[in-house]
Amino acid sequence: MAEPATAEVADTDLIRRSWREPEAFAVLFDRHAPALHRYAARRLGPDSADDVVSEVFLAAFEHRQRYRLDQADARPWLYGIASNVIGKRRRAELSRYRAYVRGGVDPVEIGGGLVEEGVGTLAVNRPLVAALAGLRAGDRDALLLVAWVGLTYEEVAAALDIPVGTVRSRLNRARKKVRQALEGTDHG
Amino acid sequence: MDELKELGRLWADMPEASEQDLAASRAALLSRAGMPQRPRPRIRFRRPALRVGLVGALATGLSAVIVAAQVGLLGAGSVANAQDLLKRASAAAAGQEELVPGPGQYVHTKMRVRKNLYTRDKATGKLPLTVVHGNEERWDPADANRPWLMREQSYAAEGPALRHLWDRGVVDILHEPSYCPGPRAYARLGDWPSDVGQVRAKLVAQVGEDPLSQWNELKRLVKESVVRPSLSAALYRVVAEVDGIELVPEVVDVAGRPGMAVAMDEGGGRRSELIFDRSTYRYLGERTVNVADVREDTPNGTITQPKGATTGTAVLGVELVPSLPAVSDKVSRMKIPC
Repeated sequence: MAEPATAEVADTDLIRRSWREPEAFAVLFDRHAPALHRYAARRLGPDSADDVVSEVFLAAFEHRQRYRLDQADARPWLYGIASNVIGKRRRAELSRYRAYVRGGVDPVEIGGGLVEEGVGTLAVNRPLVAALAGLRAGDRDALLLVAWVGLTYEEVAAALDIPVGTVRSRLNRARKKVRQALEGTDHG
Repeated sequence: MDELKELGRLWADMPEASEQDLAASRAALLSRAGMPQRPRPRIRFRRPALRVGLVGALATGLSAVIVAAQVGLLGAGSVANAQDLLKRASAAAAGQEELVPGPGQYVHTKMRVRKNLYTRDKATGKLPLTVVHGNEERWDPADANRPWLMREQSYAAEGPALRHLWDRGVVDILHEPSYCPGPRAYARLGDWPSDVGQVRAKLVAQVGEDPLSQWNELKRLVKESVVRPSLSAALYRVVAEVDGIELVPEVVDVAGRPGMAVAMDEGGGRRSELIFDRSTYRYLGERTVNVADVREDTPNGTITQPKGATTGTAVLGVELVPSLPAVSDKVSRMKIPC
């Protein structure tokens, strides 16, 4: 429930203010944590997403003095930290994808009562998820930051601390693999 | 076939987290930051994030090389303006002994801190202010591949907050070595040039030409550069060129020491200051003072800071030590992976 007055404050101003008033960082949390949680949940499942959000914001708070004040939007910074935190759980992420490919449902979600997906959805999702599991970790990070977070190439470059040219080549490689999987020429 | 679109549809019905889903993460953040907390609906501390038990106690010992070099009076007569004060401060810093840590050594910085804490008054729903006084110490490694430690302890407070909300005893946070987001102050600032022109160019490349952005970045660098006086000397010269700075002839730092300050009106009723000793012109610390009542809307409610409310840090000493001290058995570990 963000107040209109604070919703208009740029991330960079909130972070700067949090240098002397730590509570300003809570506004940043309220602004970005729900979407960041969703992103992590899509990669790792909802339970792990709780831990990822905790770890990302504690790390971000601790290092807020290092934030580049010329970046008005904190998402590249936060999702960059998230990519690293998720990277530590790579095996869990791959297990999740592979379980889905095998059974068509995420084992984590069975207990939660998620409705099974239709046959048509599965026909698309299975090769898609298999392709995700087969990508290099850095390629998957770049691809999902674009597809699921909506970051621009420049923002992905800032998030992953790599040149924009490298983002392009990672995305080209990842998109090609996913395309081939969807066309049935590569089943990862 | 647009593979990005297909990918976008994958698990797109995953909902965003609710306030309740995020309650534990938010509470962990607020607790770390000493912020007021919402009434908690149902908090599951499934895993006490990042909290682990005792690590092997690290050998302690001091080989003190205290950098408290008294610099003689630099120039007679009163300080004319902010630029004059910074010129004297620059000369004082240039005369200080440079700390050169050997392999494995740490730069140990002791600071006094003054922070604001807001707690909710259950009867009125308001968020009254409590001013918290504490000590903060940092052990920065010369080598980026070593862990570093931050130790905090609050020792007094003025305001209605109950003691357990501001006094958590000695809080140790041990940061594991990692590549990202970069080395600590000593290792990082070691790469900075000490030439004024080069420092200015680096600053502009980082934050641009906006005076307030430059001022804020310089404040941060000045605070960190107590470990490297030759860089401080150059930074003060660059600060002198920032538009809008002014001299405040009589101030007191958060450790109670009298000084004079170079200040900038940040707008919104706040003025921030770099404070220097009145006779040696050594850097004492920084503080931010409300020059008017300040009201802010936060998700927790409206907070009001009265005119005169002050936060800041004061540097008490910098020294080289051979290793980290023994850490508390409740140490928090923080690792920024890359």
